[in-house]
Amino acid sequence: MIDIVRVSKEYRFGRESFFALANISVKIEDGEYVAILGPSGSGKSTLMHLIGGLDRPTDGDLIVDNENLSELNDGELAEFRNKKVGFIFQSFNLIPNTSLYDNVSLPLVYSKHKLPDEKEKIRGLIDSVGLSHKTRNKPSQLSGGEQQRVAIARSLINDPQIILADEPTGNLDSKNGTEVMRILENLNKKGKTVIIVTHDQELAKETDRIIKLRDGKII
Amino acid sequence: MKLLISSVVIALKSIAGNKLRNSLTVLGIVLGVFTISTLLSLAFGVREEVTKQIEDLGSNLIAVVPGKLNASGGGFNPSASLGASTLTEKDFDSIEQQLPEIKNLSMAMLVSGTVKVSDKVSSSSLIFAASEKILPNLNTSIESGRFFDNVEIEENSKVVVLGSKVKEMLFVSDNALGKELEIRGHKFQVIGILKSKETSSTLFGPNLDDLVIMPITTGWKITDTKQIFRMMMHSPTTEQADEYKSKVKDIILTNHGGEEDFSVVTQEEILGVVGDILDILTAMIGAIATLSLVIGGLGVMNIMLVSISERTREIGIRKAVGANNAHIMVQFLVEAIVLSFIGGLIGSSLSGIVAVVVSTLSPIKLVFSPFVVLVSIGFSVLVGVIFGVAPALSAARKDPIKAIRSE
Ligand SMILES: Nc1ncnc2c1ncn2[C@@H]1O[C@H](COP(=O)(O)OP(=O)(O)OP(=O)(O)O)[C@@H](O)[C@H]1O
Ligand SMILES: [Mg+2]
Repeated sequence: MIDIVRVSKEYRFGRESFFALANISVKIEDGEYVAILGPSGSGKSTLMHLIGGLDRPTDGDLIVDNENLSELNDGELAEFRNKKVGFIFQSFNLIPNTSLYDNVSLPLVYSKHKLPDEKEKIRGLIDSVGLSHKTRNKPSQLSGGEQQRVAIARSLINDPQIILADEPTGNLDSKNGTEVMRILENLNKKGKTVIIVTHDQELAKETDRIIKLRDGKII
Repeated sequence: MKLLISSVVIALKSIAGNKLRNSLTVLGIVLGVFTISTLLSLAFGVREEVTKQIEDLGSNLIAVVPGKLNASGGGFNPSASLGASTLTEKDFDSIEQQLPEIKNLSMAMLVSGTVKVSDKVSSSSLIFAASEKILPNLNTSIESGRFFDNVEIEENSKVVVLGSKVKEMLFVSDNALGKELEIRGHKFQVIGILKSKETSSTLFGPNLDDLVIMPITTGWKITDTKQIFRMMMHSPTTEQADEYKSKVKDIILTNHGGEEDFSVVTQEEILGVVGDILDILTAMIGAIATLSLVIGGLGVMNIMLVSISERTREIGIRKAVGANNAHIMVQFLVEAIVLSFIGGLIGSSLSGIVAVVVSTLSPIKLVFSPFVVLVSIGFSVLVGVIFGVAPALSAARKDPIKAIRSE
């Protein structure tokens, strides 16, 4: 479960201060399929980064999977990102000049415990996103849709409960976008908590629940 | 372990991805390591040579030279004492009488001049006059003919013994024995040829093959001065070298009315001084080598900073999937080390090649030992660590969100 309790994210510029998120409270249960919807600058990405432990709030608590993220040190937070969440970004964020296979297995490099059936798992995931014929390809040799599918496979390698997708279809044509949404929906059906950040109302409607953000507040 | 292997793989990939840029960077390290490695080989080579000389001459060699030298630290210059000598034949006789157990007691003087045979002149040869037992003190012996004897010394005979190079120069391949040559207007008969040594003596400086030796008395007569610029001898045993050194010193001191206008040195002291000079030289060139390594290191640091700023986004991605600061730190530190290690490997290999070539083509011996390889490569790794830490730290400290949003 994700419990967001009176969370704020404040940016200071000298004496000026700006709240990207202002006193937000919301709960997301395990296995939910949720969209965070809002116009540009409303704080969607900021919220997603906080849930995923990529950033820290300036106020409030985030309790994810019974862990209060504020109480974790930097190293523990890195381990949290490694084990408990999978990120999917609008711009794919694969490592250039590195094979599809190595990109998918990247989180394993930073895992403390070795998976017993590592290779099969990587191949299985690559297969499940339909790219087993391109294992040795570099990101630059893949289409946008293919790159995003690699990113999805990467986010799943450590079996996290939560998938955080920030505008996952933003850089894709409708056909590839639909394909990615279908994969995410399937993941949710298998029990994952899937959170999609978007400014697209139609896309948000595909999920089970919409959290609307405006100017850093939930409306 | 997995992290280390993956770091090395990432490092090699990144280095391979920027071959030209990285080659230029590595060049600095190559130069530094090459210098260090070659200097070390040279130092070891010379040291080996010096040790060999001590063993050849026997460390029981004792020499008396005119003038007061400060052998302990002041530095010993073999040629500084070529001026007017205060050593006398009496000193020689006193040692002979009071220390009959001493071996190979001999004396020598320098006779300036050239050696002529009809139209051939050898001006580079060094003409010495010496007493009968000089040869063991020079660690050489007769190749053909004979050395002059006591009778010839008594009679101021005009006979000479030639170094192999002088012989070749004046007589080419002819048999020189019995032939005549001319020194300072006097006719001399060649009675012996020295064995070719190709090594120099620390006490005589020049190559022994360049020597022309006549009886000491003949030297005194033709120069009309009774100079002695060296007395050389061996103590009965090696252990007694220092003991006999002071005995000899006391005898001469008494003769000179207490005035210490001469010095008694042992072979070990002289070679020790040579070793000291070598140490200073090694230290100086070592400093230059270190400087070039530092410059190489700065190159590595620079290229790491460039590489890190180009890969900021990659750092953000790695952090997003679970890399902590230490992981990122290790990755870039390893990259810096791999970079300078490659430089070290190349520099050290080049130095190995140079060592083999120089050692075969010239008399200079370079000892390129596993120790030298270890030290030079060790240095390169050290440079990688020292100059990689700061960039690696800056990479590790990057904020993941800013990093992931950067282009
Ligand atoms: N490091 C920062 N310093 C200052 N302001 C920031 C910083 N990061 C984000 N902001 C501000 O916080 C607000 C929310 O940003 P956020 O990225 O969460 O928006 P968003 O809803 O994801 O928008 P978009 O749909 O354009 O991605 C924006 O106004 C942004 O300018
Ligand atoms: Mg955003």
